[in-house]
Amino acid sequence: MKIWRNLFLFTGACVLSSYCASGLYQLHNNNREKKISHFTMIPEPMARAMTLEFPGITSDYLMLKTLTYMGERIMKDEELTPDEWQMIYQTLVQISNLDPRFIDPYIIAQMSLPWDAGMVEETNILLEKAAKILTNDYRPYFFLWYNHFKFLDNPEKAAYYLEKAAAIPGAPPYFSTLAARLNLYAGKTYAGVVFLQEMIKETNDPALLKSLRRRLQALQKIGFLEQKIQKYRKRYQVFPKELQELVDKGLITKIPPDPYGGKFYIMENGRVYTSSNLVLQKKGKK
Amino acid sequence: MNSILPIAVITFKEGLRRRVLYGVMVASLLLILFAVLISGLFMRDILKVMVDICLSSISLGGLLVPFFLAINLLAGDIENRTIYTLLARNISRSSYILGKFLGLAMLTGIIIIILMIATLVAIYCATLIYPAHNFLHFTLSPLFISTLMAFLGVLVLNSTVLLWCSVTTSSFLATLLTLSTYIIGHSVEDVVRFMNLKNTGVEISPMIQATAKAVLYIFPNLAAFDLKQQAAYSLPFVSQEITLLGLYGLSYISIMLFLAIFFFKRRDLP
Amino acid sequence: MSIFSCNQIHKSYQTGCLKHTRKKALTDVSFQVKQREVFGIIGLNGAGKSTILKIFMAFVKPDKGTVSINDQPVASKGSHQSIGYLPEHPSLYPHLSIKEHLQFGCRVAGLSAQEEKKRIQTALETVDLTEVAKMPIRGFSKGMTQRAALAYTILLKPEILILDEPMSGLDPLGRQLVLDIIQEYHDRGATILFCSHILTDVERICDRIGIMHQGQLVSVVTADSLDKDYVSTSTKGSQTPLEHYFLNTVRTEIS
Repeated sequence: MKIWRNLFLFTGACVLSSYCASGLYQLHNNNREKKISHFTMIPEPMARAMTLEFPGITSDYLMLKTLTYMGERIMKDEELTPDEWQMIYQTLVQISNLDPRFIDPYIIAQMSLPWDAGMVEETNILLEKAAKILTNDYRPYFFLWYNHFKFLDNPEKAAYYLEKAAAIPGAPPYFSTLAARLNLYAGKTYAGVVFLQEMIKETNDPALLKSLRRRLQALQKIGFLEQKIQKYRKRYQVFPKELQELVDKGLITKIPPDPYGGKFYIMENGRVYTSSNLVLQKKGKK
Repeated sequence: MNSILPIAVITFKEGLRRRVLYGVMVASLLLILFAVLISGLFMRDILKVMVDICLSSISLGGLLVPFFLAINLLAGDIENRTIYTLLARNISRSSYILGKFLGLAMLTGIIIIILMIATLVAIYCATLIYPAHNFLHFTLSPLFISTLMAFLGVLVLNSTVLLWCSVTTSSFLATLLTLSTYIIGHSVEDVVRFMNLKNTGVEISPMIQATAKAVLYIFPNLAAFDLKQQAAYSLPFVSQEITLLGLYGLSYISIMLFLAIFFFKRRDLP
Repeated sequence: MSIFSCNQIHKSYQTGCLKHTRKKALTDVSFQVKQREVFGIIGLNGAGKSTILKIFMAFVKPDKGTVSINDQPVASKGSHQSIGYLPEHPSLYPHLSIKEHLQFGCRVAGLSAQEEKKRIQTALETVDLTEVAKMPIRGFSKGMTQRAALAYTILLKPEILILDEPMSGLDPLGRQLVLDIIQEYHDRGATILFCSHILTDVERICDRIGIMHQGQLVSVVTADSLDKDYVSTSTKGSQTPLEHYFLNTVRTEIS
């Protein structure tokens, strides 16, 4: 009798506790905190002091939190507000303060901030810091090249960084000739494809990979359309007014869909944009 | 069963005699001074900083019990054989476990109450020193609720200490297990959330997914009992959350005590 | 009717960091102790004396065999209603006073406040610790601690006493005190089970003596037969009858 009563009580407690555990989990899921960690707000020297001998693991933990925060948004296809981006930037800075050799925050910064938040200058500050510390890594300079080339329209500075990146052992050999092959007019889309392909090699986080792949897909489609437009221009000496003309003239079979859910259209200079919120186009203008 | 209270009292007394109260009082004096002075260094959110410091101290003070006192009082009881003194008195082992838990709860309670008083004194002092506009939004209830939940969280940790001490003979191992429980308890939710996130993306082994789920249910979600942020910003509490937390804490404690009694009953005390 | 009874008990402890080695503590031990009897267990260190007492206290469970007190299996409810147990290294809570220990004992038993006061006073007077009743145990000497533990043991005037090395670490005065208490309880009709390796003390107070060697109860003798045995065989005047018998028994076992 007593055993059965105890067993019953025990099972009851287990069920109740599981119910509450999942209830709390759901509740926390629904009204997420608006902060990644309050640790971010603490000035650098104090943060270093507070982590005692554990700055490494603290930075890992903050990184995990940041990825979770961003990942949730990417999964739900929600856009982050400028405040949230600012917070993510602050967290990444703090992570790099705690553990400057940790490459992840720099990569995450590069993959998101300039594109989605237009925070090119801020990213470059982080990257300069990374380049100074990670002297054997070509990536910081590579990113700096890309940012200057793509976002800041500064080919001279961009070339300078590309040279630096190419000089570092381990850099892909085509870097040294890349600068010469790119001209500002047609090169941006191609540079973007190169950049994204490099990034995808680096990434194994599924959420980010998903967003990178989508961006690459969009860029490749734009590149493909622009190429066809050039062909059209060679043939007819004018840019087409609408993409439909490419189909009508048999250059393409149909207009590819925008992975971001918008519609592609042609600007007067023959470049392709999209009506979707393809952040790449919108935020890229500076 | 009527021996539970005497055991609780004797545990409580023995705990207090270890100069705990002196320590806590000195700490709370320092806390008042520190909180009042350091919050002056901040420009805007004086109240927030004060509440942060005070509530963190309360949590830290509460954590003294599971990490130092409880293990000393429980594992020490078995190691030094003082447990014979109790069990020789026709006391069942379940009463022993329950009495010990109650005694530890009383110790935790008194420490938290002292620190709470210190907190109130500190805030009162601050209202005298700093301009009044800092304290416009101040209400006591979030402070109390958050402290109550911190107390419950410490009790949950106490109950796991009881379980660890009843399965292992070594106080070192018990400390280690408690520390792991604490760390897991504070990070499990974030980790599970991160893992669940990955599930929707590329393939991740269902084993890891299941493990993460299991860990969430098996280990206490201690982070959930941490409501310091809400209190610091005087945010309204969701009553559903508080109810769930209360039920969760109580049911989890009962499970731990059940298991502790189960193992303790089957164990030799050589 | 036997107060203590154990039947073919076996016990082994698992040792080593992986609990891989089993160390035999008791092998096939059976004996009975009748009411009003003083039963002493003697043996070398590590012979398993304490383990038997702990099994009777239900601190340790035997691997095999049955154990009962007052014809009730140990560990059942109420089997330990009226037992006083003195552990081998009596460890009281170092930060509490002897009075607080005694209070605890009374409260668990559910005594009234008046009764509590009376019992505490009697116990303290018996062991002569009234003056230090409020001092924490920490400051006590070994002998005082032992006496304090004894006060705690006899607090409720138990009918059954289990004493594990009650005389160890005591000065002659303290030893006499313990002997007196045992004698007093014996006269009052209590049943006493105890173990010791101070043979002269055992000899003085025991009705029956069990000799343990390497986990086995090798011999049980009555105090009376011991004397006869000694007179008829012994030539060694320097030994008491029990010493002579014990050494003989143990030597036979070893060879």
